Amino acid sequence: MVIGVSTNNLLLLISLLFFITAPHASAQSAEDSTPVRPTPRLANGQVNLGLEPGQKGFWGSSGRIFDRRGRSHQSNLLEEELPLQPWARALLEYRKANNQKDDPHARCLPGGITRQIQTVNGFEILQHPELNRIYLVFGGGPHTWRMIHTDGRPLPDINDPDLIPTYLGYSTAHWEEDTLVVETNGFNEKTWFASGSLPSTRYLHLTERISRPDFETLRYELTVDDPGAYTQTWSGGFDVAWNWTSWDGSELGELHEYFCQDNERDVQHFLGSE
Amino acid sequence: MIYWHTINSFSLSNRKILATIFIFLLGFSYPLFSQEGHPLVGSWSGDRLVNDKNTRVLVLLDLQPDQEITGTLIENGVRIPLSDVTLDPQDWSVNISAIGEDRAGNTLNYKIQGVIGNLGSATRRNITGTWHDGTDTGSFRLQRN
Repeated sequence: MVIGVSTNNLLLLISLLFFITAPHASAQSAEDSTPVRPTPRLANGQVNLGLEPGQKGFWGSSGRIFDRRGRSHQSNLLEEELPLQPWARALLEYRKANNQKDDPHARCLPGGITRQIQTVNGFEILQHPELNRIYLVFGGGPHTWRMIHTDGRPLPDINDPDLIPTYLGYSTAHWEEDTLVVETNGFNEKTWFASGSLPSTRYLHLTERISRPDFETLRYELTVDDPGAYTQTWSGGFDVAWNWTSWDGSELGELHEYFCQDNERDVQHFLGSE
Repeated sequence: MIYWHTINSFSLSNRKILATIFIFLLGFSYPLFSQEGHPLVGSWSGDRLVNDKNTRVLVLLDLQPDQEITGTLIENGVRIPLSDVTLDPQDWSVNISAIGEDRAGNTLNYKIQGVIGNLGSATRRNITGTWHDGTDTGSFRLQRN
């Protein structure tokens, strides 16, 4: 069928397109002209990595520590550039070939410390300088939380026979100007520390550098030191966006209640190559 | 419940059984946490069948920072150090050598050749293959604990 387009119809079509797209264009231009809100601070002058009193929102969409798409940093390594030990490279390929069906996080076990902030459910950061602690509350997976000590304590010795390795390890942090530097070790090898099927061993030592260049941006940079799984130390990072609304679109702007363990029906549908 | 004063009244053979169980359980206490890291690392238990004789074995494997894999094999209450443990990630084949002595002082010389199955599973991962006991040969199956 051939449709003839007259000049009048063409003008009508162009007009319609203009009216459809104009509001979005003006909204976009309004967004672009909105001044960036400055980085919030606590009463003691520290950067506030979380909510301000009376406000709403939480940290949401993030990126990956390798790859350069989306919110991932442009300086990140690509997957093929990761300095994996031969067995770790083979294991990564195996996990990918099996559609990550063995991912512990998908079985409602705690994701690793970076993985937890890469879930779509978002997270909050609660700073308690008076307690020398920072809590990260995760909305995804089994709804876990993480404690970071800021009292200057040293990291544990991973060869200490009395050390009980854990999913999230032991974290101690300090501020370098406006950047929170978090050191973590003592992992139990029961989970994947970041999204992307990355292997790790009990030698894993992570250094996170967390900053907030403006109100709506959390900058996350991770250095991975694990001679068990990698031939050398490597780094990567991503930005995390501030979410003003809840995931259901409501103006509440809070983490929603989500428990992976409740009525879990996904696992039986996970299919791999074997 | 077992009380310590009742243990004192146990016979010597009972004490040996208890000691064997204790050593066996001690082996479980360390690497239970190792599941998602290096595919070989952790605690494995199972059976080897050589010359129609079934023997229960426990194998503990650990990864060193220089990529060497070290470990111990425990059977019949005897700990046997492992040497030359290798994993080929091309096909996930495993080779292990173990030289030690049994309780009577006889030399044990094991060559274990297997392949990891259910690689991605932390709970169903296994190693199956051939167990060479000196000049004798049989099969074995180890399951990740």
